[in-house]
Amino acid sequence: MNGAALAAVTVDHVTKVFSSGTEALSPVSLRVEMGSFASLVGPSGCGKSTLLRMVAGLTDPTSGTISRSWPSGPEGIGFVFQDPTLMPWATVAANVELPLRLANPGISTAELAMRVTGALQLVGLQGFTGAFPRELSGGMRMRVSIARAIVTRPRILLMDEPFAALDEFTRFQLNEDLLALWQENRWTVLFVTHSIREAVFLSERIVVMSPRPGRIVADMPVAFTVPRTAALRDTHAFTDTCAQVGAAFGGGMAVP
Amino acid sequence: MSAPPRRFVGFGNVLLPILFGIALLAMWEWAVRHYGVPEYVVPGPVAIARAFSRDGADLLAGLMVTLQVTVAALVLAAITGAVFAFALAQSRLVEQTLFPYAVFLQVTPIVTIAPFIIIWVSNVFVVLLILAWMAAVFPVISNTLLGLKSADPNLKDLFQLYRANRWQTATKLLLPSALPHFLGGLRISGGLALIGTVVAEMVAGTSGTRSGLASRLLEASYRLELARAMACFVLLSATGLVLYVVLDTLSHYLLRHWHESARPKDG
Ligand SMILES: Nc1ncnc2c1ncn2[C@@H]1O[C@H](COP(=O)(O)OP(=O)(O)OP(=O)(O)O)[C@@H](O)[C@H]1O
Ligand SMILES: [Mg+2]
Repeated sequence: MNGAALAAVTVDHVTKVFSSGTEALSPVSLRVEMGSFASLVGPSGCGKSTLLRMVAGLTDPTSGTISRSWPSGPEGIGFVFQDPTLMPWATVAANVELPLRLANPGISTAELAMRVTGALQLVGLQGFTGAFPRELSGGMRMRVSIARAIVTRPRILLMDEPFAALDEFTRFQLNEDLLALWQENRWTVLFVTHSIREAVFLSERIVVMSPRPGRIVADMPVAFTVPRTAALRDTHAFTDTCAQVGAAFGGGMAVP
Repeated sequence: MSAPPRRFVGFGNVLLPILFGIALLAMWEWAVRHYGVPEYVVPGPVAIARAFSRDGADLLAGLMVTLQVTVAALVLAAITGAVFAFALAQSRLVEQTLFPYAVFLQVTPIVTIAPFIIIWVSNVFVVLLILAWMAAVFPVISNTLLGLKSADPNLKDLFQLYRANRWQTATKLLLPSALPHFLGGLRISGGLALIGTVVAEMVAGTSGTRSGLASRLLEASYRLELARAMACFVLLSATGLVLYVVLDTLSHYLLRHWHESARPKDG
């Protein structure tokens, strides 16, 4: 099987200039392979969210093209925002089943219940179906948000700094859970983060961007074998890789 | 504490105002008797209570008429206001074109429109209903419109990403987002509907058995039956208070699971 060689998304010379005149991205080209876990790191304001939103189809590029290998709609894409972005008036179950209901209004309750339970199990939140978002902790809300993104079994998962607002302990925990999920299911993941350690821990590949207007200044594979465990963070190889990415980061910053 | 504290109940917010009220009434009664003020100038609380027990059935009949108009106007304002706000929210152009008319409805003193309505519409109930509705509808429109526009932009993105159609976005995202604002508007409208009904009754000058409490109040004052007029006044005030409590409770109940305004004290 040569599935790994197929592109999930191809970004070709894409730029973005906002109507306000802000040039967010200078030409960016990027190919994300099917089943891979790629992270996008870069300084604040360099256009990571903009790029992710364009990949999702939420905004159009000013120039260049993006080709996607997945169908539009909930079956194709799962998106996790920086905030949990849950509907506060809906229970956990109602939040998680939203993509299924939108895609297929006639879906049976039995099927809904099964899929929702499955997704909540994956993020370790079984038993919370009837809770309202305000009754959950920040980390639990983020898990619900991830459950909602994966409930349709999408072809690609786009995550925009999903754990940025969490404390380090919760963040490590969720990193490990996400990694385990990915190792099991091999979704294509494009993951935006500020944290080099998080990127190194999770990804097969790290794409480093320059300050605004964003360009890609480094694209490095992360060679650690799968399955990774929490112990990886304490190894020298891990620290070394972090330092390398950090250097690329710094190099990008230095570019005028 | 085991049970969450109940609203509207407790020494601070129930007993204190009641004690104060009783003291005030006692002073009033004392002053009226001490200075020998005649009942047709200022009736004391005892005289008013007497008017209640004498005319109770009659006053309640009037209250029912007033209440019918008020509640009908409020329900009508809730429905038409929400529908109108929803129409305005559909496009910037529609809003720019139509919102000034909603404002016009709000700033026009309804007393000045009453004579026209009275001439054009023969059914008194409908006249009162129209005037009370005009007084009540604006807060629902403006609040609901604000609510429809303040839906979380990230959630909007999510709905767009998932290819939600207009209907799905409206029912699953916009309406729930607007609900707290709508209910806030409704609470204001409740009081305005009552005021509108009272003003309309006084202007329309209804009489006889089908007349409302406000026209009976006016009648009684013309005949210098001030105790009876005061009894009408007390009933009307109590009605306004009950209306507010009912709407506030409804709002609290509907939002109890999720909205900040209905957060339990221990949460
Ligand atoms: N809708 C918009 N209109 C105008 N300018 C925008 C808009 N969205 C983003 N920008 C600008 O584009 C640039 C890139 O924004 P973007 O949100 O993509 O950055 P980012 O890399 O995600 O930053 P952060 O890491 O802080 O989230 C910023 O300078 C921002 O001000
Ligand atoms: Mg961002």
